[in-house]
Amino acid sequence: MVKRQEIERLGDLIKIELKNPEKYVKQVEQIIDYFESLDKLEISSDTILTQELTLDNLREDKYIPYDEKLIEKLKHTKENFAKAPKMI
Amino acid sequence: MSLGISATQYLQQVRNGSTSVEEYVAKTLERIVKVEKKVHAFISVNENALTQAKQIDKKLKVKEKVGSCLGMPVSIKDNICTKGMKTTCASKMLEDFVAPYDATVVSRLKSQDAIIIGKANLDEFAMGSTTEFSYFGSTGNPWNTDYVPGGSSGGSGASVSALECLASLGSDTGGSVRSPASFCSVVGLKPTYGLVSRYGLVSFANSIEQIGPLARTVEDVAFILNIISGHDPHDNTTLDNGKPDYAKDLDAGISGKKIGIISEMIGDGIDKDVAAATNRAVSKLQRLGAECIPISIDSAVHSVAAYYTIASAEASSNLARYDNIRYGYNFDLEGYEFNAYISKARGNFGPEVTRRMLLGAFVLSAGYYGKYYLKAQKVRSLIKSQLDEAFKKVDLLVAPTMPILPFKIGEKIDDPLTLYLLDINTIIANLAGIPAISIPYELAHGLPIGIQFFANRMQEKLLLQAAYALHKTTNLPEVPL
Repeated sequence: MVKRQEIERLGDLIKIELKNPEKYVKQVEQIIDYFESLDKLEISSDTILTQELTLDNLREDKYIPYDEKLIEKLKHTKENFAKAPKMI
Repeated sequence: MSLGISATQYLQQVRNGSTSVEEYVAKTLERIVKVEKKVHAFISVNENALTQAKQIDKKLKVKEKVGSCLGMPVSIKDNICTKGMKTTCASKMLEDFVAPYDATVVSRLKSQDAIIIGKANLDEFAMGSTTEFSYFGSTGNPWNTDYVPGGSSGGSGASVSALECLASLGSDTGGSVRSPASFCSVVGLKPTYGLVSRYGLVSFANSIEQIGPLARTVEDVAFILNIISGHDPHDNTTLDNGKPDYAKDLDAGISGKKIGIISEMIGDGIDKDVAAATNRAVSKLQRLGAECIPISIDSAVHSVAAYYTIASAEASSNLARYDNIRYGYNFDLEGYEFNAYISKARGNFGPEVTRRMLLGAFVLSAGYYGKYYLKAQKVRSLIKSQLDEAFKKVDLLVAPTMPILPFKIGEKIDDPLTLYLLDINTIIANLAGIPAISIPYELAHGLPIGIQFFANRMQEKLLLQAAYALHKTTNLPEVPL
């Protein structure tokens, strides 16, 4: 059973202020209950799909000049820096 | 000049001079103004489209080289970056975001002189099956605007169906191209994982998503696939496909091909009209010379649980970057502590995105990882191996694209699990990385039914030939809009 405190803790973990945690409790519980079928499943093989990416297929590492100042696209800037809220 | 032509017919008409690019684009823009209040397929429309059309006409007049799209109006799902145009992902978090670069698929279309007519609506960050979870409001199904168009590429499907463009690009993570293709009665292809570059696609679940084309005919989809497919140095998951011509030999037919009917996708839970249409499609495939046999992919019954576990886990990681500092909307920093600011700003994610991130964080938490995420990955592997076995026995697989008919907007919005279960027939293609296509087949009660084919990895040519053969036998009415 998923509890309200657990949803609030997950909200903290994903850094989302949940306006109405109660709304998610029932829905997440219903979905997690459905996911339980995975836990009950007996799968003998331990094989997991992996994707091999070879290092010889990387693009050339070269400097490409970019004529736009990306910093100016940010909402909050000061001189040449991104502005963030206070840490303390 | 009619807007209700295929992209291939458009190219012929422009080439033989019976229509100009300007004329067609102008008429398309008029159509958009006329139907958008009801359909709402677009988040933004390209204000320079007509100027671009005139420039292409000018080039054609002086016999200057023009790309193979000849000014064809194409819509792009709004989670694919377009330089100089907004790319919002249908989210408040990116409501003003203008991408500083084009996605590879967009630059390839532009290099062939396609005109990006607008950015198509979607479920926020492509999470949804109905396009109801867009921050900018839901899209209506052109066949009945009170009904959902499918999703998450609902704007793409609706824009093609409502004659607001000739083709569109969507992204398919669990069926997001094929679902709107089925519900809006257009053709939609999910290519093999790696066949089309994802560079510039705003990531939701990297290991399963692919960009795919939607259009009115199989021929048009093959034409777009020719342009957007192939290796891209910006995306090292892309494959070198040797650049085959997917539009060539489309009419090769399916005589002698062996087609497996996936038993798990035509049984319990399927609407009776959809089941009857599928049976008729199978009979038609047999009349076209294919041998159809039932085939079981029993792991498919666990695909929804596996998919939502994996996709939510990847989503919770991918969406961590939206802190409202590097990307974001207007929200003043003053008076907030760093973490409180980020949590407050991220509180503006919509309900489905929030739900999936909660699920993702849950299944990855200590104590649950082995129970859910690891198990989901094993199911994914099992689905892949069962499909590998199936393709040793048959050339193609067939099933209805969606288990039910389109339903009313708002009807299922508060029941996420029911919405997730609608993806049961599409998800296996994403988990296994194989290609699949949906074609419009019939109407029931005025609402479309799509039929889906699956092929083995990189077998797009065979897939398109089968889809072409079946689609050619259909005779569907014009969209009543």
